[in-house]
Amino acid sequence: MSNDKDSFNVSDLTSALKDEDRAGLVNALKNKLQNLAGQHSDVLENLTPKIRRRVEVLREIQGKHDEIETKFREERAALEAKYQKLYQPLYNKRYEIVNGATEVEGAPEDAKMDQGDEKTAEEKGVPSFWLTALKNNDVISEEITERDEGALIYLKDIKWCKIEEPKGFKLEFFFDQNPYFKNTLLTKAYHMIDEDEPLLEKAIGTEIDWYPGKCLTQKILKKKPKKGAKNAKPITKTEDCESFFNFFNPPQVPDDDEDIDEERAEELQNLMEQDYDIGSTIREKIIPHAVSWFTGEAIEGEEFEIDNDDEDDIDEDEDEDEEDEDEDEEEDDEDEEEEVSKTKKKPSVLHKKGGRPQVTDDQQGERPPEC
Amino acid sequence: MSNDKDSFNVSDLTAALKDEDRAGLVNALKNKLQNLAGQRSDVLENLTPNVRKRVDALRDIQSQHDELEAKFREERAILEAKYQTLYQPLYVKRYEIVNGTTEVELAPEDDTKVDQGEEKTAEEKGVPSFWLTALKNNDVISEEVTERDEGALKYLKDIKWCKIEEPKGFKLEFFFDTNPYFKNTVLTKSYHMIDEDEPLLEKAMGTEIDWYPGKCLTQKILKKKPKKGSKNTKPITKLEDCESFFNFFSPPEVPDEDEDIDEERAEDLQNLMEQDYDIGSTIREKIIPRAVSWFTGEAMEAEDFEIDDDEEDDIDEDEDEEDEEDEEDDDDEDEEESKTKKKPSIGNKKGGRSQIVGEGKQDERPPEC
Repeated sequence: MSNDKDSFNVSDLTSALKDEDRAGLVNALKNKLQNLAGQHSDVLENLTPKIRRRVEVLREIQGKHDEIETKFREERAALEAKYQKLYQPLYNKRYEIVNGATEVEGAPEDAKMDQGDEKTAEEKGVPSFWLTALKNNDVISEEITERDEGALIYLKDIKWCKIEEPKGFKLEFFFDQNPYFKNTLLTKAYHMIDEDEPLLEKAIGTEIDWYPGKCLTQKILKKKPKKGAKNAKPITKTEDCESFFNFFNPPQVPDDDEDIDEERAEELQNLMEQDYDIGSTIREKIIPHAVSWFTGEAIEGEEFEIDNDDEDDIDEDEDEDEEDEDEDEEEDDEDEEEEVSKTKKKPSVLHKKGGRPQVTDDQQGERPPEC
Repeated sequence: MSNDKDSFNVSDLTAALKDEDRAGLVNALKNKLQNLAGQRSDVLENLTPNVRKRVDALRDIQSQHDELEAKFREERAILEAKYQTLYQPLYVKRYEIVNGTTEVELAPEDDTKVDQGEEKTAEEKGVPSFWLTALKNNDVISEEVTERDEGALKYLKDIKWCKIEEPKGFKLEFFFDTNPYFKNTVLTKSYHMIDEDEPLLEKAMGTEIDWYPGKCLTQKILKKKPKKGSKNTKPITKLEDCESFFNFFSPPEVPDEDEDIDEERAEDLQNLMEQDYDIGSTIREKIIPRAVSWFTGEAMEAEDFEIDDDEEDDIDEDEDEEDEEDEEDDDDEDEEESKTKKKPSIGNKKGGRSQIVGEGKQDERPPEC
């Protein structure tokens, strides 16, 4: 091939970068890569005429296959949309019951009428429904701190929908009016590179409009001034800390003109994969089976899978150590699980969480300090 | 709850273990875990009667949802099967052309080279090295294929996959012509999954390869010269495991239940199994449906764009290419490009594997052949 084709035109790329024209950058890269792919296609140039002819016929067959595959994807998308539509009335009913917009049939038992009436006045719907559902999922519960729970009590619905341009999906978290932030809706959108694989291009979250002094992703530190200092007032400082609400401030790919080293790139990738894991867990598990997570029934299946992995047992124990040891019931659970884990030796194969402990180590390096 | 429910009955488990009755073990574990789950359902016991009634109504709604979901899965499976049926005639035609069972019609421009064509046709049937070339053009697979492997992979004449229903999973089938390396004509790899929707692997199984003497590609023979002055002057021969594509058919296995395994070992094992599954799913989802595009290199266009966004992967590619002198030009080109690409690829599977590949190779992989 000619040298012109082989050479990579840096000025093309430079102008694309300066314009901050991502589309231009993509096109420039694609053009160069097509040339590179052309080199790989030396396969064709080295073939005898008859073999080349056969390859041409094979390419036609491949073209037919790809057409059929496109129809398959269309039909599959239509099928998925059909069922999402069928689920919607059920999600609406769930919303109404959870938030007390609709009362269920069946009068309260007469014998407890007074008590029932009294509490009904206080408790509408199913209090802490979504908070409880989220806490019962191991992937999500790792993100929720005790401080977060006060805000998550006001969470009244979670929805997801597909995004077409660019391809991806969006999660919507609906909150009642609450003393923490002004937003009634927080969203998280994932833009994907490919339809069939979880290749994430970027993630975007709502900016949370916290009320003064209520920000859950930061904590206020007060330092006493050094003895003898003229200024006797304590110094206050805000510091980032762990919170579920960091979910709405996802890791960002750096700007094009910012250099990033290999190690940093890898850490960033791990963080983004972890963030995507949380989002897809909410979309695929929490939203469709919220009631089963609330009651704990969903944990049954998960527990069986998770407890096959020693690694995960340790993670659970670490979580439980942080809870009040005064809770006798929890102590029983902990003892039971320790006993169980001694008899289970097989590692869980390909369990997503099992693959994360390495990433969890990054939490020590990358995560804000514990609140 | 009563103490009886809380206690874990070790004798039940012991009996299950001694019987080596896996189903029994699974049931025993499930029963115990249901009790544990029952404790988590304290949520229900702490509710007021009215709230509890609402939760029961919610559970009814959830059941309706789960029924719909089951129908969705059935319909989706039917849809997938329908299209696999539509693909089959195309795969059959592909097989026939690749293996020379069917000849394509000659195009007019070939007339002037009929003599040369006929001469070579006698030597070359179909499309030689079709599957070998397709596999080598995929980055995930090419990392597994060594130079020694190529001689055997030339005899690969088809790859197929099919679903397995009991247990849930899928199987890959590799069809080989009669060849001087091994006696098998079909090598298979099965993956048994725990869950339909997620890639949770229970186990993987491969065909035992019946190598001809001295032809085993997963081992190499080392000869050591005896120490000077030693009575025995014959060289000592020793077999050592080495890297090979054909290790794919001896996948990592979960140890027996009575064997204890430490945490680090478990993690290494898990990484190896994930890596093995990645190879299998790449073959199933990419190579088989688009073998021609991989053979010609067209499939690399899109892949290159995605992969080359990740600096880590660039380094992997460079490592591969350093082994081949012919690729020096490409090597320089790649290095130049990598300097201008700074964004990490987000969620790219291979990018996520680099750590695993690096560590796995150093610690677990057999030494280079």
